[in-house]
Amino acid sequence: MTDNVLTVDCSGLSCPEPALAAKKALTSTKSGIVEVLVDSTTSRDNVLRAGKRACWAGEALERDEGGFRVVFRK
Amino acid sequence: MSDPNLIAGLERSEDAGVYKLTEELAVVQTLDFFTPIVDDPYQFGQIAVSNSLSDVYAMGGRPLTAMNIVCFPVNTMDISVLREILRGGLDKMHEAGVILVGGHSVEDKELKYGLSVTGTIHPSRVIFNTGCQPGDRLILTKPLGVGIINTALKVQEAGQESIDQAVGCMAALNQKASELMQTEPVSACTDITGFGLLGHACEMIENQDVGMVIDSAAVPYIAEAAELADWGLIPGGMYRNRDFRSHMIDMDEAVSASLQAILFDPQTSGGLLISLPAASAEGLLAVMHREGIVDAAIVGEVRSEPKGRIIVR
Repeated sequence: MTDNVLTVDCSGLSCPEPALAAKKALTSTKSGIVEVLVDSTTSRDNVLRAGKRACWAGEALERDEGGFRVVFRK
Repeated sequence: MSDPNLIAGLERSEDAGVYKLTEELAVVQTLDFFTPIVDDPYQFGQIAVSNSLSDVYAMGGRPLTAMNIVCFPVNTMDISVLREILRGGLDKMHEAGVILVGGHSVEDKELKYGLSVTGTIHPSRVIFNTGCQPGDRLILTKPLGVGIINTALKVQEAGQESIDQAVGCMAALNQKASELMQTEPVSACTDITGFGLLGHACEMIENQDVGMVIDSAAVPYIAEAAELADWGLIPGGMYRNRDFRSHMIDMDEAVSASLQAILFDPQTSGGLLISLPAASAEGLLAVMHREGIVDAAIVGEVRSEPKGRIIVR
């Protein structure tokens, strides 16, 4: 069985919008997997901070097409 | 090109250019202009002027005259916006005792405003970025965090109280702080702007025979900035500042991630960072508090070791 994955696509968005989108997704979701797609290292790091603050475990993976996939689990 | 009368020019990252006219008199020149960081045009005008004048204050100079620099999208923006910006700017110049003598405007897609400033200073009383002495204390005169507040403001995440505090800080002149520091034997001074506290502190000790210790718990900042930084509402400039200078910084792991971000947070029209002997520091700080520079604090000290490095604890 696979968990439902909520994907928040922040491609094309610049700071601080990805961090805010991550905050909204992570505070309105109780558990499961949330992945946030971002373009830059700044957005990646800011989204990771939001995840930590919202008490989700996060890791960032580089995407083949460029940018990052930040995956949160709880 | 060298000139025996050039006291501060391009070769050092000084806040303003200084050129000696006579043995008693030097001229100080600087200019700065930028895009709006707040929505209110009057407030933006005030902030832009305070920011432009700050470079003269940081060198211990007295700004006398200024010229407006205006880039304005005349076809897409109501001219009343420009009027409000210029009114805010002019009011701030009046407060500083600076006379507006002219200016230049160009049409541009993006609005920008600032000043070219001319001031005077005694040639032997120029306060440079460098010159910190071991044992000096470091006074910071405005709280940090305005970059983070401005970033959060873009997505309506900053509280009104924090926004008001940030605008008040950015619009506040460094004039009084500069005048007060000139009554003490100051070793060095700079103003905190885009590189953040640690970035500008690094400029003060880079290639010098001294290092610094910054006491992170003593650094004043707008309270909500820490919570906003925890949520990742941090400007890209903070990461650039940190990456550019991290090789000069020994960061204690006990310093929270949010406070680390605040220490590298790019400031607009930030405070002065003043290095002066320990014996003078408490006295100057007390006078500053009495004169209304209420956020001023001693944030660290200069050490002979580690040279060219900053310990943050």
